[in-house]
Amino acid sequence: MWRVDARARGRRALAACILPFYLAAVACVGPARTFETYEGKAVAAAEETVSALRTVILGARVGADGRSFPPTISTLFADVEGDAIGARSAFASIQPPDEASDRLRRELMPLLDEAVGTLAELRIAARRADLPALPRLAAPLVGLADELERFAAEHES
Amino acid sequence: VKRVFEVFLGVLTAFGGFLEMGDLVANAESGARFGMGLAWVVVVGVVGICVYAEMAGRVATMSRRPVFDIVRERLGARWALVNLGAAFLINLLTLAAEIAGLALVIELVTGLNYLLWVPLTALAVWLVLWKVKFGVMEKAFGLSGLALVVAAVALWRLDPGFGETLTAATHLGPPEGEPWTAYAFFGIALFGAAMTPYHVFFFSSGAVEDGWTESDMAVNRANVLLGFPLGGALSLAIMGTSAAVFAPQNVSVGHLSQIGLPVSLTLGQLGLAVLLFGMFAAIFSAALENSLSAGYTVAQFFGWQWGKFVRPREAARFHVVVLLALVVGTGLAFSTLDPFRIAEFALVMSAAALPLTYFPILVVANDPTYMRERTNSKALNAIAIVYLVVLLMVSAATIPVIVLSGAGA
Repeated sequence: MWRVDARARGRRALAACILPFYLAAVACVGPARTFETYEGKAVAAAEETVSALRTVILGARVGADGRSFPPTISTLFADVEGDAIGARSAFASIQPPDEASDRLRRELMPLLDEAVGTLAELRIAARRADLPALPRLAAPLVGLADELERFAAEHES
Repeated sequence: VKRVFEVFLGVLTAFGGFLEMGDLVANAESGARFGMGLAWVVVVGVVGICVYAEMAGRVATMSRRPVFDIVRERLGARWALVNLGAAFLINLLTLAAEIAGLALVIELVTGLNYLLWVPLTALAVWLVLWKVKFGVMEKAFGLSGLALVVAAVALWRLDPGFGETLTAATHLGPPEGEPWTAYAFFGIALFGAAMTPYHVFFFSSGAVEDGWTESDMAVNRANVLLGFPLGGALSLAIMGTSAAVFAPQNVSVGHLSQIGLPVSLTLGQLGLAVLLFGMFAAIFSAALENSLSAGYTVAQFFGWQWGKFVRPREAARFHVVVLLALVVGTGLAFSTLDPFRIAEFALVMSAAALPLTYFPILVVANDPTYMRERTNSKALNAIAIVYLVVLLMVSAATIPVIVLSGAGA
């Protein structure tokens, strides 16, 4: 009897330890069942991509001005490119729940694709230590970041 | 000169505690998200760790016994085992983050993937622990960590405006668009970072390693009052540079590579080189502290011989635990789990375990059997009790805040 109690207590303690982390993880990647939820996830993806783009714009300036080292810049670009890819894939994998969500997806996905593509070009240039080329390659990112920021502001509830 | 060098235990503890991987992450990330809106938490944390580290140093000096030894005596074996489990787990997570952090700094210099450097940095940490004397270690790494002053210079060059910074720092609550739950999550992370238990385990064991006696009370106080506020000020500088550069552009910080950008922007390659050196030294200090703390806590709980003041053969079990902690930490660092998240998680979880560490210190610091005439003053007790209440509240809020904020998302 004591053994059963001890086991049950152990299981309850284990569940109590695991549950908060499970809930925290689920809160990050839950499915979208309504337009509002889907819209929220679109805004999050746009904001994360804006963050990556603005970091790279800043990094490109610093790199071209000779204020940083090529490996530091290429690592920075690879890191934030990973964030943008993650945001794009996470959003792309969510099933749009209705037609309004389809329209939202059609609006956002090309912007995310363009961002990921341009970030890859910048990363390649930085890996080749072609730092003077960075401002030219990063130029389209300014408009793209503004567009994504507008998108996020429009759809933020 | 000898007196000046005596404060390096505090400087090393503070750099390893305030500017390790988790702190760099939490300060830069909260600066980018909340501006200086969480600076007050760092100040509260610095005062708290000063109060309790001074007490722990005094207890260790007077009783010639380190904190964990006394924790076991005061809490009893069962509660002390819970404390040991929590402290050891946090140590391992933090150590994994530090090993990965060292490898990430090398990646920033070489451009080669950090996983390549993980075993080499772990080996370097072990070699220092094995070969280098405690006194040399604390002076070398405490001094090298001072390179992080470059972050304060960068902040000065960025010139965010003293008045505006002060207004932002004294404003309680998240900026518009940021949820209270995320604000609370980062608040707990910063508080946990300032008061993380391994600070006092390391500091008090270090006092025994350094052979402090009753005549070293002034050294204890100088260590605490110089080291911890300096570490806290530099962590605020990191937060400030992040707030000045990233917050206005809606950039969130999630990588070590981003932390160098404000310094590059203002001080160029030389500034960046100094920052990278300082970050390496501070993270290395933290790796040393964590590895030793793992050994200290386990050895002190089981009553084994511990420390670097005796020959390794005499403290073989202590060294085995240190080595095992390094091996497990290296394994975790190899897992490709995001070191930033590991560090952040360790900080938040350490907040949950704080009262178990600090309560026994307060009790013993008032016990004349150990302390003779060096027990706490009434004023110090009043402050310490207020902090204990805060620690209990933070500890109780940790898990709900993790869940409600989606781990700071």
